[in-house]
Amino acid sequence: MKVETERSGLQQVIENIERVVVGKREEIELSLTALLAKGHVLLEDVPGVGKTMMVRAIARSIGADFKRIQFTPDLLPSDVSGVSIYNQKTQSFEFREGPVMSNVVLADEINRTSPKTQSSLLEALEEGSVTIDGRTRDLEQPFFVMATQNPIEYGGTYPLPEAQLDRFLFKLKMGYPTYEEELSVLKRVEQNHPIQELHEVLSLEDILKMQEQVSSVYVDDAVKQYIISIVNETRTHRDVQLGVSPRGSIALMKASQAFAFLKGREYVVPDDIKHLAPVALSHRIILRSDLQMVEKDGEDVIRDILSTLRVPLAGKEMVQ
Amino acid sequence: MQRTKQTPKIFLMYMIGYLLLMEWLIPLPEVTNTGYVPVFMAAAGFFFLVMFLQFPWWVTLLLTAGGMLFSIHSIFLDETLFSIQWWQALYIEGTTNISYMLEGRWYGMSDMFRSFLFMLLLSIMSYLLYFWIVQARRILFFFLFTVIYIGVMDTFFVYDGTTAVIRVFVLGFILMALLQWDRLVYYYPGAVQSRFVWFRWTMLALFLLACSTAVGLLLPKAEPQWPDPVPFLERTAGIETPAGSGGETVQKIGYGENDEQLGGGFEMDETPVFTASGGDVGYWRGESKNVYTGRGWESNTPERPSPVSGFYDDSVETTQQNVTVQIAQEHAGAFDFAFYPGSLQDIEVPNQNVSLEVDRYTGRASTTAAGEPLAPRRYELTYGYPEFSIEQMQSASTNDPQYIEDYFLGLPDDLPSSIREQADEITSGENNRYDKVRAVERYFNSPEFTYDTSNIAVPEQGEDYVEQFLFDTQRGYCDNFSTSMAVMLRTVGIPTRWVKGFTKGSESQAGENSTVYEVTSANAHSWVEVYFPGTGWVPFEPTRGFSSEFDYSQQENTEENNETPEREEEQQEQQQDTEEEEQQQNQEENDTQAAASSSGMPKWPFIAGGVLVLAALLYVFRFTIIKKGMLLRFRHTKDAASFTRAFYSLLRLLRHAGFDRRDGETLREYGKRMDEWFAVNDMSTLVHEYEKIHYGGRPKKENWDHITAVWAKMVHRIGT
Repeated sequence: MKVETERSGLQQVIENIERVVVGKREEIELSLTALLAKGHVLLEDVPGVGKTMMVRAIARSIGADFKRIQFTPDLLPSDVSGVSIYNQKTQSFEFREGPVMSNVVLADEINRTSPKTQSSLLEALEEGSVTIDGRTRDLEQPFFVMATQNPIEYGGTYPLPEAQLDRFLFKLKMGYPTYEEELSVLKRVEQNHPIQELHEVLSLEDILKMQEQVSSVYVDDAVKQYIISIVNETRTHRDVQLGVSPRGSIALMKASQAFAFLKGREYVVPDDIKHLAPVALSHRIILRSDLQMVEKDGEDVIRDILSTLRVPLAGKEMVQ
Repeated sequence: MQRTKQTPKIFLMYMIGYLLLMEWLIPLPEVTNTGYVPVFMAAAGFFFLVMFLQFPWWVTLLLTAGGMLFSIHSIFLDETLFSIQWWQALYIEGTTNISYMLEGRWYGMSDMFRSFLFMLLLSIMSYLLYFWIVQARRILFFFLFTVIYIGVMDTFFVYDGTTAVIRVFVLGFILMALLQWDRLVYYYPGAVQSRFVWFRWTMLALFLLACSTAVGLLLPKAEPQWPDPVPFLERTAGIETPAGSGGETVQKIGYGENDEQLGGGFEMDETPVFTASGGDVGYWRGESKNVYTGRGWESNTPERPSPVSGFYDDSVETTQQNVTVQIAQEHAGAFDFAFYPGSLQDIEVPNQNVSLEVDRYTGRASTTAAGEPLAPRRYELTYGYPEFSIEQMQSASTNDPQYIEDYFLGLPDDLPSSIREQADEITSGENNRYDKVRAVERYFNSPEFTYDTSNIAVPEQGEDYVEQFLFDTQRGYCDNFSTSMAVMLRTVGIPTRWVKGFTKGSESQAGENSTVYEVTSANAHSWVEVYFPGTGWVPFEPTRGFSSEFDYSQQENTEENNETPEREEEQQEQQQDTEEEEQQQNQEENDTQAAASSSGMPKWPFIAGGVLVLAALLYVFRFTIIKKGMLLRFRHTKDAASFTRAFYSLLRLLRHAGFDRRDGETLREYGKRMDEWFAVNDMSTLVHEYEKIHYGGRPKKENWDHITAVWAKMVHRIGT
């Protein structure tokens, strides 16, 4: 019963966001899944398809404060994490929080900044804390980062190394809206932007509580086997140079727990894995370099594996 | 049976099915004694119509039964339809025949009852074809079996299936194209957006079919790889079928006058021709012929009568013997000449003054009384039984008298050279006429030649009888062997003539120095005589399976001094051969008896048929059977374990029905697909329960009755 009420809460969040972002229910669900799994999302798409709007809508719906960092080539790590300034009045160093010290952070065009600055953010993603002037400061909880990356412009960018891509739970694509969806977008913003009217549906405490509950979602061994067999396939697939690491397996399992929770289930089914594997694993593999020319990406490879891999059934031992 | 919407198209397809079935009936009058085939066809048409209209089952049953009775009435019964006598006649027929059936007296069943059973079969076929075409939309098997049936009919029976097979081909493929379309529509409903698609599909199919049929008709046809599979099969299986089932010329064995066209099989005939009692006899000689035409034997020698046959020169030792011949009742008056062994010296007919005229060239011993030909019923022969000296023959010169060269060396101008080449090869190692003759005779004893009397090929126009036998069929009887030997010897310059008559017949001892010979038509035979200067006409026996009664062993024993060890071996071999040959000759007679005695129906076809029917039934009703078993086994599902087993058996059943879970498909996706297919949502419910139990980690109390009910509902749907 408890799950049900929380589910209805989450359901309201989704509906709330949908008021702002049209026709992106799947992306919204996945983003919330990442939030519940204490993960972060990398959005890879062209500008203007509603990436920012989605993050803001999520932040508003859960009553979180929202910060946006526009990554530019001259951005310094301290611009992200914060800086200590000497206060002459008090004659002491005073810490000025950077934008990362927030619940929901939008890291816009993360590949435009220098690797040094990138890694300062990514450390925050992985550790949940930042170290400034030798002092480690915990970040606020919940902490949810949505980084965006423009796949078209390569000039003057610093593509994220694969090891750092690994820190994101999902890599999502928004895609253009359909004709009807875009029409409805235009109608909605005709007078004033609906984001202004969004109100808080869940509190940050609710989210923290849910994050705790997610880890108690049951994952059967058959599901774990399914995860491992998918991951193993990526390691032996002929198009793949570097397969998914065990960190990827863990991420997929955690994500599936959160997704099952989002769907109001106390257990994970193989469908969750199959649904999440493309977004959770595609940025964790490196394709053979000669394949990048044939417009095949990691997602294609993962879908390829999913469509040929026999899904193991639980409970087989009962029939023998 | 699920009711299907009846459309003109379905009717068309069903009628094509009817036409295919009719192809099964068309050969029947030619291969069996079935008559009234149009009635059966009409009845089948009626059954098809009734089946198509899909009345309630009892109407269908009534109409079908009525159609059967009416057809039977129109064929067999004279009584007024539905009168009391009519019913009585039917009742009597039915009860007697059913009692025959129960007793296994299959041959006792009347034509009427068998017709009734056949009608029953046709009505079942109408149902079966309805099922195949309208319900299952599949016809390949029936189509295939129709083609096979036509093939078998064409190959093994008189029926000529040339046009039938084209008809079946065209009809079958049209039907398959139409049905394929229906199946496509069923599986890919989106494909039927435009009504013209069906038209285009059908037109394309018809066009392709027309093209392939035309090409098939125009293309040159390869000759059959087997000249005729029947003899091959028989030989392989060791079956000796009674002749007469084949499409070849079949004659009855016996002594005939006309030998212009040889070849073809013959039937055994045990009609007695004559009985004889007396001393040793060899073969009974009728007459010989000297002109080989490529197809048979004719005679062109001038008539040169003499009182004795004088086959042998004086140097040949002969023993004078007597034998009394009694012509059988069946052949009284048939022969105005005498059959005689050895060399004829005299004939006496009791109470009649008969003069003997033996033709010098043919050896025909005509009997005349007062200038008119006479066919005596009983006569006594005096003849010389010869003993040929091998040495004399071996050392004989090759200077034949002029008349021998004139008449006994001729060959057709167009005789294939392969015969001469073969003869040269066989005789190349021999340096005298006798050894050459023996070499050729031995050649025919080699295993590649087979003695057989049924289904023997007749040479086609332009084919040579000897060539066909030597190089193609290598199967035949005495005419093949003797003609071939005579012709081959002539090609190497040895004068021969072709002799026909009878073998010795079956012997029985009648007294001290007297043997009784019974000669029947089955003893009719032909052999070869070779001319040796200084000896005369010496008979030889090339036919595999026969030994000449001119066994040369006796004669050779008298010349022991000159014998070489090799020759002795040869003699032994010959003696062994003789035994085998006698067995074979006997067997020939036994076979005809065996064929008669085996008509008491072997049991195995019934057992095999029963097993087949049972297997077919099991196959047809396999889903029903499996489902019944499943429902029985899992009717009390009360815990997770039994539910799991039930669920797995459902998955197996689905897989068996062709709905396998695809690679990469999760249970949920599979369940959804099944539900879409069956237009239910039971499978998803079951999958959900299964997930709860096995992925949920903590089995809970479930509403098992509900789950079992859903499961049973799902099971029921499969295979319907």
